[in-house]
Amino acid sequence: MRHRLLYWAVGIASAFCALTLLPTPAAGAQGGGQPVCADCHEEAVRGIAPTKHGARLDATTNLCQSCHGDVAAHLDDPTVKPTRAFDRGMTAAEKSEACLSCHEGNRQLAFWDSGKHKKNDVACTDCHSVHGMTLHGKHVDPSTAPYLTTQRKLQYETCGQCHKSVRAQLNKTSHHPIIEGKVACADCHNPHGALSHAMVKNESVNQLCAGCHADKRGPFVWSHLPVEENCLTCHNSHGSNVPKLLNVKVPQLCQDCHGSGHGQLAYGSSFSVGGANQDRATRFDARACVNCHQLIHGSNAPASRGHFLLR
Amino acid sequence: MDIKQSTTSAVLIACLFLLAAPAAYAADGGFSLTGSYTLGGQFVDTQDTVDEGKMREYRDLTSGVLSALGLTGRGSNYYLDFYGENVGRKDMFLDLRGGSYGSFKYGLFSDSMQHFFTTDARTPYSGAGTLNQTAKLPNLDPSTWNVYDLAYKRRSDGAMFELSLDSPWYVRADVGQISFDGNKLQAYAQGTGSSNGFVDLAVPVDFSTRNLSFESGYSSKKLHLALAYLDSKFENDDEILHWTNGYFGNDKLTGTDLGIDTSYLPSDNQLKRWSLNGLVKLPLSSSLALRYTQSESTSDVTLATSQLIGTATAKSTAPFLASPAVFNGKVDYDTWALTWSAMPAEGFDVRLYALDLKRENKSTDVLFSGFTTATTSLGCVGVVGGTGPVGSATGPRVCENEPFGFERRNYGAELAWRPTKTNRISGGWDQIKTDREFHPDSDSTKERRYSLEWRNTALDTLVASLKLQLIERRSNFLSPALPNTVWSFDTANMDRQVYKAGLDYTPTAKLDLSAEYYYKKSEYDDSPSGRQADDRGEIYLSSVYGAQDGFRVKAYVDYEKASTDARLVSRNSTTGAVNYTVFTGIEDKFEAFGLGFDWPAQERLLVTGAASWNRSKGAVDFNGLAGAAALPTTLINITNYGNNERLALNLNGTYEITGSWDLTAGLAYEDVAFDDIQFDPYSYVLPPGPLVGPAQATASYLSGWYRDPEYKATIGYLLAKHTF
Repeated sequence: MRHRLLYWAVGIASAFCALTLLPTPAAGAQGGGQPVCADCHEEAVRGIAPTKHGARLDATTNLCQSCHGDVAAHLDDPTVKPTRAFDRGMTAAEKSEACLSCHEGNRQLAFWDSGKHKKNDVACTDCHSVHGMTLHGKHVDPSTAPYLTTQRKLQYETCGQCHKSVRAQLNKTSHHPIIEGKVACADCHNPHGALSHAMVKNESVNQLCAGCHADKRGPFVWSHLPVEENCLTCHNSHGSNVPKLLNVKVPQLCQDCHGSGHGQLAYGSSFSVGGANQDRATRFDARACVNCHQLIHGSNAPASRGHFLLR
Repeated sequence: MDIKQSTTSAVLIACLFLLAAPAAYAADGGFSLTGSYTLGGQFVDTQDTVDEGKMREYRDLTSGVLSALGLTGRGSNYYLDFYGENVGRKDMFLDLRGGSYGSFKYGLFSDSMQHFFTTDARTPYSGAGTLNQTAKLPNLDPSTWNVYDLAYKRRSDGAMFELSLDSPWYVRADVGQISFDGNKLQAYAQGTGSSNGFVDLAVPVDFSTRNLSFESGYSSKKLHLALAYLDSKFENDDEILHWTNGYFGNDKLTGTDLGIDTSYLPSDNQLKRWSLNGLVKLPLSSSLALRYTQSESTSDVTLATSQLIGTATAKSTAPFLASPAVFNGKVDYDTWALTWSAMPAEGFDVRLYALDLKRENKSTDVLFSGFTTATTSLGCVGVVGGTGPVGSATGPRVCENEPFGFERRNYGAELAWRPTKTNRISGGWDQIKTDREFHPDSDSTKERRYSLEWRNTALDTLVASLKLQLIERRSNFLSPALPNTVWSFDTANMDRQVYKAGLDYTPTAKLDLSAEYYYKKSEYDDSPSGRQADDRGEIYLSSVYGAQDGFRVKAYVDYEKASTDARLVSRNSTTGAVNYTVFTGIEDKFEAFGLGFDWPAQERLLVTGAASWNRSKGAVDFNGLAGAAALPTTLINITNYGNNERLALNLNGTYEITGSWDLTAGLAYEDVAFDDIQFDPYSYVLPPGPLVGPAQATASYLSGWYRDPEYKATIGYLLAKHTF
């Protein structure tokens, strides 16, 4: 704990040292002057100025042409579009090519060609906007989120514009804290391309989940086989109507694999749920099977206590 | 160098570069710093909510001060971005990034969160949240129990540094720690059978995961090659939990002579992983991507050789043997992936891929033995004094683990054809073959997927798509199917069809309309018992209207319906006759509506609003078929199986007082309802009826989690922001 505070103290102190020694802030674009494009496209130029791309902004049209292509004809006759107008006349690949002409060698774009987004004609400009705005450079639609204690614009609002099923799951009663801003889509997925299914960052779902949930990583003396093979056999990673992000409520989830012993009798000693006395049963109430078989992800307990995931 | 020393080194190296930054920034002519700071507060009124756990599940909704600071530094060579908010609150967020374009970059972050389960949870135990929890049992009056909050804090801290010096070569270091502190709910069975009750306990959560990774590589437009190493260590300070077991030795019903039971919390573990990533651009506008990883997960456990056991009238601590005495857990993962993507001709895209994942479980084979007649329930197979083969029904009474391993091979091909610029037809074939060790049902599964998709953008204002996918799964089962055999649902033979349609319509520059339909149907025809079929239908409608800098409104409507059919067969193991069959049909519906708007009401006033409503309804239908025996009882359907409803409203206005100051005032309201037969009516003690005499030894004690997650909350907030 003490060392952790020391690390943070040094890190933050260093950062603020850097800030205090900075020159007096200067307003406007860094390079000095604005390109002639600003005469008509003032908002676009103003939007790009504070971005990392805007660091190259100057009185020439070099920055603008690096993405939009040759604008000479457009300057002579505004009705003639530049080479790359980024309108519906351009394909996704053509739009992305403008960005990749500079960024293709970036480490995080290494697997762009292999990814689902390129395959499904998603262009860089579908998620990013170099002309600033708010969320990751993209003008974001009005939010429908409930009250949040964060003022940040959140990544899922961009991804959810296309991935509507996932957006719906995030609003269910049991969900990863994505809409609360504590988990981002890019914490699990690489939107720029990956070689794994669903573009998850790790080589398997289980390796990915164990990165945050390392208490489930094991190895355990006694393992639960579907857990070892695929977390998504039981869980929905985005959201579910069932507590603990389970796909189906317990006991039915367990009965999908376990039918012997008392697995069938979960509804009561005699299947009489809802009867005159409700016949409340430890195998059905609260968390049903998991009331006793709590160590569902694996156990280190001895003998049958561990084998049956009881301790 | 162990992980702690590595952590120290990495952070200090990052800080050295930060210290050097001031000189660099000062030399960067024209570097400008802009930003904003926000100060304000929120006031939360929960209107007699009984349990605030759901409301505060991931948000710090205690009344108090809110703050935020954002800094953006831009120069021709250097950049810096800092954002911090809610300093001192349970959901504090800090993020600092910066660097020199193309030369180096760094990052520091800290993100805190609380995961709240229940406020005012109850327990008859003393020491809730500690490793020693004792109680005088039976204690059937929850009003006398101890009260506590069930929650833990999670904090993620980390740093990153990457150096490339304007070359395609780079080195990178990432260090991070995720720590948990608090308690969470776990439950444990009390006696030797499922009718002996269970207890909810607040177990301590005090663990952390430290990650340290290094990567170096070469990344250019034509070639990418990177080698990375990750060391991840999970450490848990609390591994053994002792608690009073109210079942064993409870004959006196005075709370004395009760046994202390032992439960085992997650042990320390470590993951070490090497990975090699590569990409090379090839002719025919193609690229070949490669990934290889090799990882080792380890965890060592000293095995216990005794366990509390007995009856309701007498307890004992039963010793037995464990061979070997220490479990050395070791799981190796070897994976590789290869993808070739190409545009071999105009209008054609091809993608061929192969992935292989091999999980080798090299963990210790552990044999527990030495069971007597009195401790036979601690064994798993065999009989006391048995002389048959170890591990058989006639052998000695033992319990032996079986380290599970598998290999999964995935191959596939996708082909897309664009007959015109506005039409795209694609098809794909995919196969996954999984071979398993020590799986009780199936040692091999093969799954094939066929897909076909058409996408059209012929009209400037319309994008349409249709997709069909067929999935076929077949497994090799290790034993013949009996009428009551349940094949593991993830290995059972399955046939699935998936249909998807999408429509995006933009009739004007100000209006976007979108519709999406999804339907999935699965059948498990070869499963004698268990899941038989499931289907799922989803409809999503959304629209956005308005100019980018004017009034803009977004709305969506979601509808989902899923159903699962299963049959459970009861069979007489002696005669082989089917006693009876119970059919279950689960239905799960989800409906949602959302609306959000931004309205620049006046030149200096922006009004923002959001409304969202969603409702889930679950139900189970039962039907029965008598066979050799009558149905055990009348089957009664369930209509409240996970029903919940949430309404959330949020309205605020931001007034620009001057060019650099603005004020935001807002009001939010939330109303959540919940109805689930598994928790309603809620009882802290099960069964809820009066327990007398020895039956009290089988009482179950619940914590109150989900007893009443409903809440109503009104939140007012006021924020002043200065931009510089």
